[in-house]
Amino acid sequence: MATDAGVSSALSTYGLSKRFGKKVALDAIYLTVPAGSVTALVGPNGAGKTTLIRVCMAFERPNSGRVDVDGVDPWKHRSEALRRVGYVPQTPAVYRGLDVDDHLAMARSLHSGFDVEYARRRLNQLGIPLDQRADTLSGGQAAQLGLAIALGTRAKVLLLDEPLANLDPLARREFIQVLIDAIRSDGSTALLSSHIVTDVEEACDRLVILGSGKVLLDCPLEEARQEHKLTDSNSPPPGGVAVGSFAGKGLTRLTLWRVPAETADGAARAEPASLEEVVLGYLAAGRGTTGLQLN
Amino acid sequence: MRARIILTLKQHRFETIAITVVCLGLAVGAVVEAYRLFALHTPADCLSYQPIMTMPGQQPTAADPCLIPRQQRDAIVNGFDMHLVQMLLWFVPFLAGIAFGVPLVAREVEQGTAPLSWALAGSRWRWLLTKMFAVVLLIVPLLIVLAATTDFLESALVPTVDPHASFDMYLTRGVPIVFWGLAAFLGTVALGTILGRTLPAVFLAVVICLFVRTAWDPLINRELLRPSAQALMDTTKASDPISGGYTSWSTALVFDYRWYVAGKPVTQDEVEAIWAVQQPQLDANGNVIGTFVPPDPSESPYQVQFGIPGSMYWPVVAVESGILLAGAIFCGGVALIWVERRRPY
Repeated sequence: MATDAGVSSALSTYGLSKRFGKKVALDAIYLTVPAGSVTALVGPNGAGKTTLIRVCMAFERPNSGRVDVDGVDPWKHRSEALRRVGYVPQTPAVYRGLDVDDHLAMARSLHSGFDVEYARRRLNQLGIPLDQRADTLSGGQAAQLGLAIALGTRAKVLLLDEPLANLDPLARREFIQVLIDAIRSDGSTALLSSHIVTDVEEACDRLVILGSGKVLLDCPLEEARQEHKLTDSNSPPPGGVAVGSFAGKGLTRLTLWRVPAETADGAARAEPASLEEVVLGYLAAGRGTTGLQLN
Repeated sequence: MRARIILTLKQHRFETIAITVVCLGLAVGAVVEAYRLFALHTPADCLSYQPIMTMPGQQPTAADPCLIPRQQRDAIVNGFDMHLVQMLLWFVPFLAGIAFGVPLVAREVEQGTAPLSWALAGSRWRWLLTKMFAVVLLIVPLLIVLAATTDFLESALVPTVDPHASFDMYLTRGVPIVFWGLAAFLGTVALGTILGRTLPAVFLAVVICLFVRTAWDPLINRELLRPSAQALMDTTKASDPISGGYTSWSTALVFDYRWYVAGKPVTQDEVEAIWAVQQPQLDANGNVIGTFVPPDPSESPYQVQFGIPGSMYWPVVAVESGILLAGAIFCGGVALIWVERRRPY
């Protein structure tokens, strides 16, 4: 499937909405994840990241709108769609009675295209014994097992639902490196959700900020870095449009500005914003508050 | 397929080991009890022996040749071991079904492994069907072994009667055991799939199984099979209870007793009217009023047993097993449909 810009899209949503009772989890979302990209899906808890991924996995039925995963609607053609998707859940889920190799055998029995040797090789490289009981793995190893299973499907699209949330910094780093390595060598597409932008910054080339079920920003990572400036006053940089204000370090009030690339170089009075500050600015705007504080 | 079956049983390692041990242990227990009874070599004449009524404290006569063999036999039949085996035979098919059925999907949902499997399996119903098949492959042979040994035990308890021509304890032995287990298994798979929580599903499963098993006799036997009931005794004359085949281990499935007079069915009101005529009217001093003519014995009401004779064992078992199988398939179908639409968390 091709986007307007002619780049093929691996995952698209069209006016996707999902409600749980009165709570709106996704509010008419239009999103395109270009093929071959690694997109960071960032937002606070409750922003709708997990719901979006679950709808893409056909775990949840959308109330309106639709999703295309590599051109297939997962709710209408689930088995077809799931053949194209590798999924890593939020909490590393392992079968208590089974060892690591049993998990790979189970994946092979469930997914016709599952590449056991590939998954075994990846786990061997990480020094995870195949005969170890899965319930005795550390959190980081269990996450790596989940990633190895997702990668073993050799799927075109990887959906990773906050896989780093429960990992220590070292395990997070290892996870990201394995992911980057695999995506680069396989040429697959990944949508990686997290509520901590610094975790995924290194791996991603695109940023989607989700807040209260809405897409607040969707652009390449580099563009997000270049086009956003930060000031500690209300005076805008030339050509700048205010995004949101939040409390910075020392409770200094900071304002995030979106400055078009052609004028950004001239915005001498403004500081370049880090990705974390970009996210904070958009989330503050999304909540209509200035109460967010930069750690 | 083979890998999936092995992995399913490995996932349910505890249940697999526990149910195998319980079923085989109970089968061995039933065989041991049966051999203990056979080893007594109780003479056939003594099997229907009724102790001679004695006054309290008075010993029966030692000259009675059946006294000792019958006491030895009663000691085993009424012993703790036999009662334990018989009690477990009531529970074990349900235990096997619930132990495997409830956690098959509910535990996956509870422990968060369902998203992992369902993301890999294109078809969830096929995923569940394979798991159900793996469990059926394990529990059906175990229940068949149990069924065979319980029939063997029955043949030791009632050696004069073919266990397959008798309705004595027929729901807790033989073929029905297999279908009770299968129905409990697939019924609780559906329950676990719908609830997605193990403990509440176990509680509900126990209540439902107890209800169905307890209600089976009044609902199925008394209502469904009633039209097939036939007279179990000669209706043309009052039968002696013993010589008429009304023994303590009657092989028939007895539903009710109906009144007859000279080979013709009569109602309870008619019986009371006959009795009113046949009773002599006495005055305050106990003297007969008027002239009382003793009734003709051939005009006296008598009762005839109605039910299904033991010779109908296989047709009845086939019908009841068919009902259980239909229920099991229905529940399995519900589980397969539900798993396709439920959330994995």
